[in-house]
Amino acid sequence: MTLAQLKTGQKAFIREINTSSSIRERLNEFGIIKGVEIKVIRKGLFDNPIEINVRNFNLAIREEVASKIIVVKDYV
Amino acid sequence: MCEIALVGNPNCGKTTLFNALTGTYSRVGNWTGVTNQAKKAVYRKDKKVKIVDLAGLYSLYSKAQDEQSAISYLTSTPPQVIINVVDGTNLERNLNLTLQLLSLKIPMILAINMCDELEKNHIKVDALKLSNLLNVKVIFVSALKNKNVDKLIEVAKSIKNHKITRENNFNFSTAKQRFEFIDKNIDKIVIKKQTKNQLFTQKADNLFMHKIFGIPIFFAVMTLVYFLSIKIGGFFGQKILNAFEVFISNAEIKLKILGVSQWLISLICHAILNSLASLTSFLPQVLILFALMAVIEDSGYAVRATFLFDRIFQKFGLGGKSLLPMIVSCGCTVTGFLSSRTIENDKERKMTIFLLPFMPCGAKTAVFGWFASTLFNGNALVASSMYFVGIFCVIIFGNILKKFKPFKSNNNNFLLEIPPLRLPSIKNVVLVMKDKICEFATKAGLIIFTVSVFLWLLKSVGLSGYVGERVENSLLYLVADKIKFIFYPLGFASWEATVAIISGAFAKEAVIETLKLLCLDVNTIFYAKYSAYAFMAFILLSPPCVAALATAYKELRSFKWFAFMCLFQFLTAYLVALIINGLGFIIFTYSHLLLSISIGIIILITMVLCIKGLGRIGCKNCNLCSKGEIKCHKNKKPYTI
Repeated sequence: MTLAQLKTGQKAFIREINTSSSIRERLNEFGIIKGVEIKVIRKGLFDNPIEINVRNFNLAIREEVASKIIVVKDYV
Repeated sequence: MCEIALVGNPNCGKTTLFNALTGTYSRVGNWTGVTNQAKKAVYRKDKKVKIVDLAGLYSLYSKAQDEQSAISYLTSTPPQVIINVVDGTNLERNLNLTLQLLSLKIPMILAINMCDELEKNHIKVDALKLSNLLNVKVIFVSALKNKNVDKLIEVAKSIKNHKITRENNFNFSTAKQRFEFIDKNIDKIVIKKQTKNQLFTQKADNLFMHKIFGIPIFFAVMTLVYFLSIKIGGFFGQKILNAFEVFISNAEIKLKILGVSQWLISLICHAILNSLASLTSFLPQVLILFALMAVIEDSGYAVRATFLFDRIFQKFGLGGKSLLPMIVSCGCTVTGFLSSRTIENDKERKMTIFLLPFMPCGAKTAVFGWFASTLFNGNALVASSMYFVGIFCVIIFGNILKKFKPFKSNNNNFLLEIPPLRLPSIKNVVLVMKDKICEFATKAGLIIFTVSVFLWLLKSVGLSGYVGERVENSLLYLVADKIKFIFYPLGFASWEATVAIISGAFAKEAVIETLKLLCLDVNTIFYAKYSAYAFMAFILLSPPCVAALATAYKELRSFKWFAFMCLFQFLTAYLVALIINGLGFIIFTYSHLLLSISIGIIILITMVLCIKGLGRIGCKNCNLCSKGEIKCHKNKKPYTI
């Protein structure tokens, strides 16, 4: 399941980040790494961009990026 | 001599701290990218201590454009002491940079800012544990409430010459390792809790960032901003104009009595004082507009607007971050250019700069208003339609420009932090107004001033010397008459219109003054009413006034790009004016023929759409189908209808 497919209000854990390496590095610097919990706060018109809450702050990312982030409901 | 740098994530209050420490006033704003270049000033209590305010950065290894200045400062000309300012309500993420900074081996203090908010929300941060863990001094500060601000410098001075020996502790090479370390220890240091502000923001954002109502609310807010600035600002502006009018006519009389020569009176009264009057009458409107914009930026609402419009802006090659510069441009293009610095992507930024002047600025709006009242019976629609012409051109030409390499960017690096909404500080709004007055007076004033004088000179001096009111003998007429043929296809090949366009290059408001001065009946200089409309479009789209051009040149940092921009805008203006004039000509001259052709075209288009539409039957869930292919591109077989 990708981050883009989560519905508003759902929480999940990051499993994999399959974006380009530059975007992945940038996400990492924000603390978005494997295993971190995120929550989808809201989505824009046409579900783009997506506002997520991670580590107690809010970040907006584009749907194209979110669709390349794999998430799981329960952390293994 | 001691140089102390303030380093930290965006939005954590570094600039507020800088202002408190140095007593100077720099722009603060509740969104990423407000502080662009490093600002240096001396500590107000000790002139030997220099404080440096850096742009906010998330990581020393970041590739984002707006973080580079801070990164290069830290790596090539490092300070003696670093004060790492962190947001107390958002500690986890801030510590990532902290760990990176520790590896720089520069004496460092960790300043936990916004401690007033921590207290209000009963969030306890174990500073001692944190200090022991990272081996740095930790101090709670509140830049806003001026708490512990001076203590920070005292401690900084005391550790200035310490040798750093924490080599092996924090040699993390990836963000992952750093965050794993943070995750392991954060619970011992602070208990994660939402502040009242964050809860309020959540509720408020349900309204501001609402999928459907968000954008209408935004338009309502912007309409209010413009309404207030134009009505209130316009009121005071008119008062100023009236006062100047009286002053100038009195001055003229007094100077005549004193026996001052006519040309000098004309220079002082008609060139200098007149342009000063024009400029100052504009000021109240500009001030109110910028004050209200500051409120929008300071509160954090500007970020919400960026979120709402990002998707739409992507359609024509830009991103949400181009929204605010465009709005600001509707006040004054100069400020629009300055706001575009926050766009991280270089290509997007350049394209924004190219397209910004298409938005009608305050001066252009004044021109359109005057045209509407003199040529179009006061029809307000004529003036406001220019906004749509501008927006339309941004979309169309944005779509065209984005196809070319210098502007093609397929990055999705759009990662926008959405900070909690904060109450805008009155102090900050006042600072913005003060800032704006100074800027207005120096840049715009100096340029418009000198150029008005220059224009007056050309208008008043002919081959045989001073010609005064007989403009037909002046140098300006001689030049304009020769080049007016360029505008023949556009419907305004008259020397008056040509001079107006040239004077518009200096300040768009000058177009009004010039036309008022040079022609008794403005109708005579245009081929037809629709040519006048084409002229308006030309004024809208052609390169902006000198003040804006100077700013654009500074922002583009390259003469090649600047020249390219001017050429692009001139050609666009010419093309659009040509189309308008041409269409007007065709519509009004060949109306019957046109009607039948239009009906024919509509029928043709409808037929084509039907055929394409039919072709889409059968390919249901493929989301590539928006291209309306006749063949299903999945299995490459044509449809059997």
